[in-house]
Amino acid sequence: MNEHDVFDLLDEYALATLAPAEMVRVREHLATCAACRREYDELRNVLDVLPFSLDEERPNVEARKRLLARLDAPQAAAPAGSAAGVVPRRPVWIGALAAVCALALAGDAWSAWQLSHHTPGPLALVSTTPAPLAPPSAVPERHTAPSVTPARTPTVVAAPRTPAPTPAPRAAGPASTADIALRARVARLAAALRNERRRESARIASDRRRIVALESALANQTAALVALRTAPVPSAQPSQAAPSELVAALSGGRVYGVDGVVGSEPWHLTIVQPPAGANALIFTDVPHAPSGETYRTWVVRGAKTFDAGVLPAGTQTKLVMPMPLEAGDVVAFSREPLDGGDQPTNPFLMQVKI
Amino acid sequence: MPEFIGRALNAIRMFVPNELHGIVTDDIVLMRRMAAGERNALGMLYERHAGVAFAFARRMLADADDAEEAVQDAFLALWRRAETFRPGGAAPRAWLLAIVRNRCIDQLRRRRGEANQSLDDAQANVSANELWPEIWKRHCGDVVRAALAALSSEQREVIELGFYSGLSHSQIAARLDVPLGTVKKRMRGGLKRLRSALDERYARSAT
Repeated sequence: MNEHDVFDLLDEYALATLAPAEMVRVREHLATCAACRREYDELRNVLDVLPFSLDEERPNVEARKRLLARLDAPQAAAPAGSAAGVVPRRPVWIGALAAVCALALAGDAWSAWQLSHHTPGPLALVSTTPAPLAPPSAVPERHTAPSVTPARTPTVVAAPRTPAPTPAPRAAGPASTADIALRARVARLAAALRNERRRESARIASDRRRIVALESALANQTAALVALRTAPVPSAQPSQAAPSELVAALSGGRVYGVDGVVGSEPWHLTIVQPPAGANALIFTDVPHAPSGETYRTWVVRGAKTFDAGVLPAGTQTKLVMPMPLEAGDVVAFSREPLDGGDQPTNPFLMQVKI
Repeated sequence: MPEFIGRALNAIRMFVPNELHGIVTDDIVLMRRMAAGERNALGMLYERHAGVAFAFARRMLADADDAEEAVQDAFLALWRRAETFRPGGAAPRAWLLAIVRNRCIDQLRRRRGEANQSLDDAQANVSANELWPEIWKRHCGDVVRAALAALSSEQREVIELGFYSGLSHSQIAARLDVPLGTVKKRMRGGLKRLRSALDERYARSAT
């Protein structure tokens, strides 16, 4: 494969649609050819922004829990992309609805038999949906994404547990009474679905409003800070501005400088408490922890010690603490094993009282 | 300049960095925390990026369940590979989206009954040289849509078939019943045109 051939293949390489052997050949060529690498970077950068043309969509609210639960599953250690499905998939709401309707019908088996044999229409349709007739506890809590979500499964499942109304007459020739009772039941289920859908939409709308508000707050803050950065005062007269004043001017927050020596290594930390109860931040300049260990941050408040996260090593790194700091808090650091728990097991290396 | 002033300025620069520097920094910090085994960090990355990842997977797979699974697989892959992440390379989000796309293409190929060789996440195609900062990407939806709209419909069609449907150039040629050379020309021409439209718009927004 000569250089011209590879140049020609770069867009397909960037799209990962070449045959595996060709992917390898192009990759090897890129390692040695700066011109092709430049072209590839250009194509790749364009492709990277394409997903941003889509409107963001939040996955199902349960999805995050399911993801974290999968960390505990043995499959979490399996190689990426292993073909086997890891999470129980489907049935989605249609399956659940079918199962629910089937349960409702089973509570009145005779009428159900009558209906499915004699009565055409929606009931017969639903009861013949090829879905597993799972008991409620076995219906997975999955449902489709908000835009097409009719209901959350648990609510639907709860519906048939309500005591059945009057039992349908068994030997009645005309199916009318049973028909009415069952149709009423389905109507109730449909109403439950509608309510759930409405609640879900309201939740999504409120989430969206919150996101818009947060984004606009972020934009305002960024604009204010960009303005401050370009203001001549701090750079023109740096020696007159103490850091706490600078930050106070910038945001109304407080800054604490922390310097020390751990072992023989110097540590420099700057703790920033932004205004309005935002979470505190630590800007760090600390060495890497010994292999297999991390430096952990703790907040001691009264008799309690809170885990504030792993202190990132290196210069100009930042830790966003999980809480705002209060007067009297002690921020402390200790060396802990990588898999350490949420309480310190080693003596504090350094601590600072706020 | 006294050292403490320098440090304060540094802190300010990091606290409110130019453009979205901070977002990238945070993602990198979260990757490090994941590498250290912090599950919270995965949850936080998920909060930040699940929206775009899910929209992307859904656009590719046209199925919410499959999309959710692809997104979960991608986040798990990120978790497993966090230790190999090097801050000098691509941004975590670009990496994540590349893995999401790999998972979706695997799925699309299975659906089409093609030989199924999973794409390698370690080799997920991302650029090491980011041209546009993350903050701009976050707010560039309209820009990208406008740039896409400025392409000819033929160019847009081949780009979408290649990018979202994961079809090779030959498959696109067969589907559209046009010569392979035409597909190549439309693809490269379309990507170049997008690139210059985005460059121009970015330069304008940066001034």
